[in-house]
Amino acid sequence: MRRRFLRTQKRTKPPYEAFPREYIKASISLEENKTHIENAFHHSQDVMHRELTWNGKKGLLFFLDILVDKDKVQDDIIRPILSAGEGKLEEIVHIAGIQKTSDISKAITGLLKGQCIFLTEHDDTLYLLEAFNALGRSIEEPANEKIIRGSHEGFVESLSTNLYLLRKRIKNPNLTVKYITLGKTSNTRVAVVYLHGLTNPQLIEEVEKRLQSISADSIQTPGYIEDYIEDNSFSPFPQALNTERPDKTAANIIEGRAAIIMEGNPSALIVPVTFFSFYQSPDDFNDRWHIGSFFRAVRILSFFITIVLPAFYIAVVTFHHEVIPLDLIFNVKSSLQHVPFPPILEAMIMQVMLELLREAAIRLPTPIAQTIGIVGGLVIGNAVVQASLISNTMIIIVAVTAISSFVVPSAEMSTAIRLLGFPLMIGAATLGFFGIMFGIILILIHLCKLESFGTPYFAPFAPLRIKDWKDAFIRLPVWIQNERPLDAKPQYLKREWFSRGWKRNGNKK
Amino acid sequence: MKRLLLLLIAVCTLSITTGCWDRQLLKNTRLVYGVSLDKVQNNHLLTTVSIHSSISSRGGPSSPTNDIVSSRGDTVHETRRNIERKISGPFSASKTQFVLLGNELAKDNIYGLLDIFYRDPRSQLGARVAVVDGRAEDIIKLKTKEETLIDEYIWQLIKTEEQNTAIPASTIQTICSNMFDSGHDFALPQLRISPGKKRVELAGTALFHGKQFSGITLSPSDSTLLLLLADQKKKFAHFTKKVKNSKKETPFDYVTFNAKKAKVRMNIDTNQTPLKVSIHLNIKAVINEYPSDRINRKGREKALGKKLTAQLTEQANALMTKLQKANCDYFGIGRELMAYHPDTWKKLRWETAYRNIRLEPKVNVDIVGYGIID
Repeated sequence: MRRRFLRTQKRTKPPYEAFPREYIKASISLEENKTHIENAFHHSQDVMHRELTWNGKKGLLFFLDILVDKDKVQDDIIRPILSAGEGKLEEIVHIAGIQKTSDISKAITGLLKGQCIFLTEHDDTLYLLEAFNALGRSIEEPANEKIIRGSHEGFVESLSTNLYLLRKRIKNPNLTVKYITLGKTSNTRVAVVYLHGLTNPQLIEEVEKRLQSISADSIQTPGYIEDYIEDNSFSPFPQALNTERPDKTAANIIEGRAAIIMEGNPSALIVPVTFFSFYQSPDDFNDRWHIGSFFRAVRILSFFITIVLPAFYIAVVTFHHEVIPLDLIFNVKSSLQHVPFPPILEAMIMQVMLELLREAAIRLPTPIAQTIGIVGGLVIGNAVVQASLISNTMIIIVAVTAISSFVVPSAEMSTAIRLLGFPLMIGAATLGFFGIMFGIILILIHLCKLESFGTPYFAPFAPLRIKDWKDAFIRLPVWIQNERPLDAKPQYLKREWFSRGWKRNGNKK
Repeated sequence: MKRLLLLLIAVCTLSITTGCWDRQLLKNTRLVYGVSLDKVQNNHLLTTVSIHSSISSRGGPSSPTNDIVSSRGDTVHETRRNIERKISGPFSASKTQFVLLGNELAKDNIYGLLDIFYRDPRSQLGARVAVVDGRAEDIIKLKTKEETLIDEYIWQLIKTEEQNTAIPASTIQTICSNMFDSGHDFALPQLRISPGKKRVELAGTALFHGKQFSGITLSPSDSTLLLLLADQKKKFAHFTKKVKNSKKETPFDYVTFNAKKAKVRMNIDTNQTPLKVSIHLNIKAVINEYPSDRINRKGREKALGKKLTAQLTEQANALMTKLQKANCDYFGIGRELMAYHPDTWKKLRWETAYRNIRLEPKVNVDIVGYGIID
């Protein structure tokens, strides 16, 4: 029933959609065109017009009051027109972007993008003059992807600024930007950025195909796009890398991946990605390679700790206490002595408490968030042990798990793996180590099967390509990583040629 | 949708219909640290266990205590069940550190006592086995030795002595194969309550034949030599020998050394009857204590080495006699024969032949160090 209802709904076109996309020819009559434009905006009061005389004829300049830069309109459009009075418009106004069209719907779209429309009596040519007012915050370091050394620039909410940040990093005519407008109501501009000639054309085709087939009212955040285009929505693992760092985005583009950037959101979606790209951070390359490798290894270790540690502890105290070393067992046992709950419940309570604290702290302003930290962390943590509700050991385990889950540079992956711990905990509580093993096997099977835009998600582990481990588990010096990773299937693999020739020559002498 | 529903039903039914759930919460279990087994009237078994637990004031630091429980029965498992009736939670042998066997009991077939350890997957196969001169129960019943709990006390004692190469490191697991091997015997440490009745001490090494205690115990010094000859040296191996004969019996007559390195070579000569087995032990010794003289003078260390060589060879010869008397083939000569001289092996009845073979040990001591003085 519900489905049928939805289907009938789909057929009729809702009246609130952004605009008729089909071509509507402008009339010769100025009055008619004016009415058409005003009707299109339902006489919205921020649609302004100014009457001007041009070549002896009556002209009208339309613009959306709040979208245009007033100074620009006054100084670069109105003043030249008034002072010249006649001639060719292109030669008079001081505007870089001038388009001529006879399509009224295109003009209306233009108004929404911050262009001005100039039209005259007895003429069906409409001039679109660029006067967009780029308001927005300045470029700052993204708060959730801070690094110690290196570039501190982050994307902002303006698409053009974001593209500027990328162009600044990759000064190459082959860096291609393709705009797609998504969302019938919100009419959001989305850009696909890639390096022509390097990125696999099939990938670009696939990305465009998937983006184009989005047929929805609105696209609010990149999360919408992600949901629409990812291969498997029911997987716990994110299949597109969400980053606010231009340097990370540029590095990925040069590896042969594509970035999808949305107007109004300071992040780029990078596709295709592998599991290990979520564990990479620009910091790895700002430090020397052993340090970078060490941190990389710590992060991979954090993955295992987050997923397995609580489950392992539960399995040990419920089923396999023979594996606890002798000197430790009595400590653990005495801390458990008066706890009324089974270990699984203990762990769940603590994990839920932790998630509550985290969630509460995000929303609140910093000074209150600190209070939450103290109340939650110290007071509750201490009281819960004093009251013998939760054992000391469990507090330690949950705390270590939480800390290691926050090590992952990507916030989505961090939450994803923390949540993955829950089914493993249940497995551990019902079947012990067997349960954990079943869980891990299921996760591994899933990871091996998962694809991101037709490329294996768990590369270079499955399919195995040891060559690519140079930038997965560890990070070797960049001159050893002389080939791009294979997973994005770039058109050329080689990326470095004999950069340290001086060394060999020097030795010969 | 249908598939999801089916899966959900399957998961629900599976979780409800599971039969036995082998969950055993750590907080409920009573962890047994040490076990002793004795023979009492009517061939009954008496098991005494020391259960380790800690009394904790809520949330505060806890202090460990132990609970001594004993019970009788016909089999080890029956005694365990009887003990379980006297304690507050399930009996767990997963952390058993040692099993003490009474003297009387050890002279019977000890496999019957250990069988349960091999069958139960939760049991601790790393537990040490030791024989007690007298009743094993008496040791556990000491309960505490000063500040230390008796079970920890025994466990530490055994571990330390293993490091000193004074007793063989025999766990439940390692002795299992030897019990069934006709060509290899084993030995267990022997403990006793010292005459003061308040302290446990190491009596030496109890020699076993097959699955039975032979009744012969080696002194700690002999055990160290035995272990060196069997190439089972651990961290230290100390010997004290008398090398001088002055009028007064003072420490000045003695030398103590540590065998820093010990190399063993066993040679079996099958051409001779009775079989001749020579064991060469080469000890690189470091002097620990030698108050009477300096060693670094020319020739002195060699002379001392010679004296020690003679004394140790003599001790080794006496040791071999004891081994043969106990019929304990500790070196695994039978196994060597099976592997390398099968023809000879087939001709021999090892059970009786071992007592009659010629065991010729030869010990050579080289002094390689004498501490930081001299």
